[in-house]
Order: sequence, then C-alpha cells, then structure tokens
Amino acid sequence: MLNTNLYYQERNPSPTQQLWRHFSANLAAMIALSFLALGLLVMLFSPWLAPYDANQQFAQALSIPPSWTEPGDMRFILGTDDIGRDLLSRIITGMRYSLGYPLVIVLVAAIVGITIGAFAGITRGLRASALNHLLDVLLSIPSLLLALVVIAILGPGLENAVIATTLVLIPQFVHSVRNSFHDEWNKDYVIASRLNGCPTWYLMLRVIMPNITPMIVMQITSALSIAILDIAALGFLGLGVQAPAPEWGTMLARSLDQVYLSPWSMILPGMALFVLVLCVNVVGDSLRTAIKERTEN
Amino acid sequence: MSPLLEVKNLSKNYTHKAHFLPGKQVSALSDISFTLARGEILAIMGETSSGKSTLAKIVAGVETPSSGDIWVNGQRLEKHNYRQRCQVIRMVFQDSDASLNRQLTIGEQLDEPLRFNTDLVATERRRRIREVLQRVGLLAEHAEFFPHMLATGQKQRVAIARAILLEPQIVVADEALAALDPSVRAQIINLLLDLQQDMGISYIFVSHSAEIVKHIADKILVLQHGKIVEFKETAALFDAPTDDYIERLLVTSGHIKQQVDKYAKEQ
Repeated sequence: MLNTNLYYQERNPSPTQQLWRHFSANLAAMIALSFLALGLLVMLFSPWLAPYDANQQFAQALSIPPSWTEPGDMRFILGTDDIGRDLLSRIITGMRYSLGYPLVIVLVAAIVGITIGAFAGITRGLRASALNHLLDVLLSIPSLLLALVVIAILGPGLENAVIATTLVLIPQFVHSVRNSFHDEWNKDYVIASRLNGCPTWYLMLRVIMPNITPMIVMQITSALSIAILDIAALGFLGLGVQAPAPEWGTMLARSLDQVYLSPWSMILPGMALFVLVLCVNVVGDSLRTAIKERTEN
Repeated sequence: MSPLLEVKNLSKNYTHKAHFLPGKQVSALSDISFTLARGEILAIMGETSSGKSTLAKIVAGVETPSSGDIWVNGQRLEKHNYRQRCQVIRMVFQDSDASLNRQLTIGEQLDEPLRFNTDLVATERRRRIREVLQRVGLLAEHAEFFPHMLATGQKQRVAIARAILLEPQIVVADEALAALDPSVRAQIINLLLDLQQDMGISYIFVSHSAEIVKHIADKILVLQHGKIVEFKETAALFDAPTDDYIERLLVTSGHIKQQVDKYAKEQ
C-alpha cells in the first residue's frame, strides 16, 4: 500500500461555503448585508442608542426640521414631529416594531411551515394533494388582504397583526418546502440513503435538509420583506400597531396631515422603511444569483 | 445447496392514473422467477423499456413488487425493510454523481450504513471507512472530500465502497458502467471482479453492452416486454442465440460488421 500521509487537508469547502464565497464576492450584497446587520444591532441596543424616550415631548421644540437645515437644532438630529417628539429616537425605537416583530414572525412561520411542508412532502396520495390544492388557493390571495381578513376576525392591535402576518406567511413556507421535499425525495441520493437503512428523521434532517437550505434561506428573505411591509401597512391603516407606538407605518400615517408643514416627519420613516426592505430584497436576490452561479460552475 | 437468491413469480404493475377515472394498468414485469448462486454474476439484458431496470430496482429494494417474493438464504425479504435488505443486497446506481449527496462529505455518507446497521462506535466506523476506501482504490483522505471534488470514476468507486461497506452477498449494478469512459470502465470492471474474488459477492448487472456481459457474466437473463425470454449460461447463449431478439441484443461490434456484410450480400 502506498504511504499516502503526505498532505492531509482536514477541511474542504462544502457547497454551502462555496455559496458564501460567491455571495461575498458581490459588493452590493455585502453592503446590504452589513446594513441589515447594523439594523439588527441598532434594534437590539435601541434603549441605549436612542437619545430620548420615544414618547418624550419637548413643548419648546415642535416641528423642528433636521439639524443640517438652517432652523435645525443639534439636540434633535433628525428633527421633531408636530408634538415635539425626537424623530431619531422614534425611528431607532421603532426598529423593534418594524424589524424585530417581522423577524420573530418569519422565524415562527418558518419553523411551523418547514415542519408541515417537510412532512407533507414525504406523504403521497389524497392527503398530500388535498393540502397542496388548499395551499394553492391560499397563495392566490395577496398576503396583505389575507392579513386584513384575519384582523377583521380578531380585531385590530399589535398582537393580532403579528398573529395575522404569521398565519399568512406559513402557507408560503409549507408550499415551497413541500415542493422541494417532493422533488428531492425520489432523487438517487435520497434513495441511496434510504437503502442505507437510514430512518426517516435522518433522511429529512441530514440528507434532504442541507440540499434545500439555500432555497429556505431565499424563502426567508422574501418572507421577511413581506412581513416588514405588511406590519408597516397594517400600522399605516391603523389596524396593527396603535398610535403612540413609534412603528414606522404608524408614523407615516400620523404625519400624513402635516406633510406640507413638516415633510421630514414623513420622509424619514419612509426612507428607513425603504432602505430596510431594499436591503432585505438585495440580500435575497444576490443569494439567488449566487445559487445560480454555483450550480452553473 | 439452496441458491443464494431466489426470485419467485415477481410482477410489477404501474397504474397510469388520469384524474378521477380509474387508472389504466400497465404491466412492467410479469411472472419473473430466477435464482442466483453464491459468487455468480448474472447479467440482465433487454431492449429499452423491457423492464430490466425495474427488475434491478425491485431486487435492490428501491421499488416494491406488485406480487411475488424475493428470498435470500432461505429468508424472505420484507417490503420496505431496508435494514434487513441492506445486510444482504446493495445497489450501485447508474449515475454516481446523482447518487451521492452533494452537501455531505464522502466520509459522512459512507458512515450512514455503518451507523444505522452496525454496533460499531464512531472511531471503528471511521477506520472501516478508511479501509474500504483504500480497498476500492481511493485514499483514506478522500473521506474528507465532497463529491464535486472527485472525478466520475472516483465517484463510481465511492458508490462501490458504499455498496460493499456492509459486506453484502449480492450487489445490484443498474447500468453502473454505462456512464463511464472505456478506460475507467475497464478499471471499474476489474475492481468489481477483484471484489468478487475476495469477498465472494454475487453481482446482478443490468447492461446493454454485449461485450461487458460476455466478459463478466456467468448467466444471462433476457427480458422482453417484462417477461423472461431466456435464462441461460453466457457461453451457451452467445454460441447459439435462440431467437432473433436475443441475437440482436448480443451482437458485438465484430458481429455488426458481419451482419452489415450479410445484409449487403442479400441486397
């Protein structure tokens, strides 16, 4: 036998690591990802980062424009709204509602949806096809409309908006995970593992799951952007987060009547929402491109 | 002595179902019976859609028969009991690339059969995987590799390593050599024959290549439209093909020239 212990490379790049390599080569994707990471940090440390309490009113400082304009005030970097609340503090604190809740929603929806989808994907026959057709019907309704229906039943409020958005996102996960499990289940490598005598849990978790992870991550990013927009839209309509809370959609709705007097109080939360959704979408899109590049090479 | 493998009255029907109408039954295999002795190599031949691949899959356990039984060493193989089956019958797939999980290292994939079918602890399993990798002509280091880092021939060796890991008595190879280029194919054939001598494995080859079959097989089973047309020793069948269909299957490249000449003469 040859002596082959000349060079022993312990770790080789897995396909997932290769995917990361493709992804990180994309500048726009990395910028968007760092913005998201920054947003996450700001959200986590918002009580310490916000200069004032979100609902603290400064009676002497009503409708002050951002600090870089002539009448601006350095104490209020992004200005104040019509009842003298600091906008920077409100936007930072509002991240909890506009980024934090969507993250929790997507996490719960993903766990529930992936579990149901995985089991649905490996069953055959009437039960599986009934689920599939039911989901097709659900998916044909826009998510916001469906959330409105749920809110109409449960009544407006933050908890109900969260519940509604979660329920609305679950079918998407079930559908895509079910389809990928269904496709993977009869591929040769799964059959080979089944012939190896692997139990079903092992097939699902260790054999199929790593192969559909990119798809799931992509689904999570698209669900996240939907959740952010839905929570903001429900807040804007006054059906979700209620008024004094600094949720961005609610802030937009509240500043609507002052739009000529103090446009910044509308533009700033709008910009924040725009940048956040843009970043999420850019990350999702770059991920899709990276997956395509990897499969092509 | 009782045969190693005994296939009794095996048949397989597929139902082509269109919406709510009662499905149309299509028979892929009907009434297949044959035996295989220890250390013997059986080749299954037949034209496209003659059911040869279906037969291999049923024997390997990928598909379940509609009726009929498979006995190994006087023990009946149960449907869907993969743990029982993988101790005696293993399969090598046609497309080695598709049969390996792209996201797991070779070592992790080879660990699966050992982990779920033996009592070995992790270090013993790793040692066994290294041994088997070296046995099929790879390096122990290949355990750390991902499938995309290997060449086609190496992937096929990994697939063979996976098949022999549990020391089965029968290995089913479904067109396992078809996708390889000739030199690699020759290496793999030699490897399979080596393993047969060392471990006393019986092979069931599904192949459409008359040359390979002539070279390695002890017996040939010829299928047409899901039925056995002929089941005979290789030499006997090659010497005297019993009918036209079999003759067409068995023509090697040398024979083709003769046939062309004959055809030209007749014209």
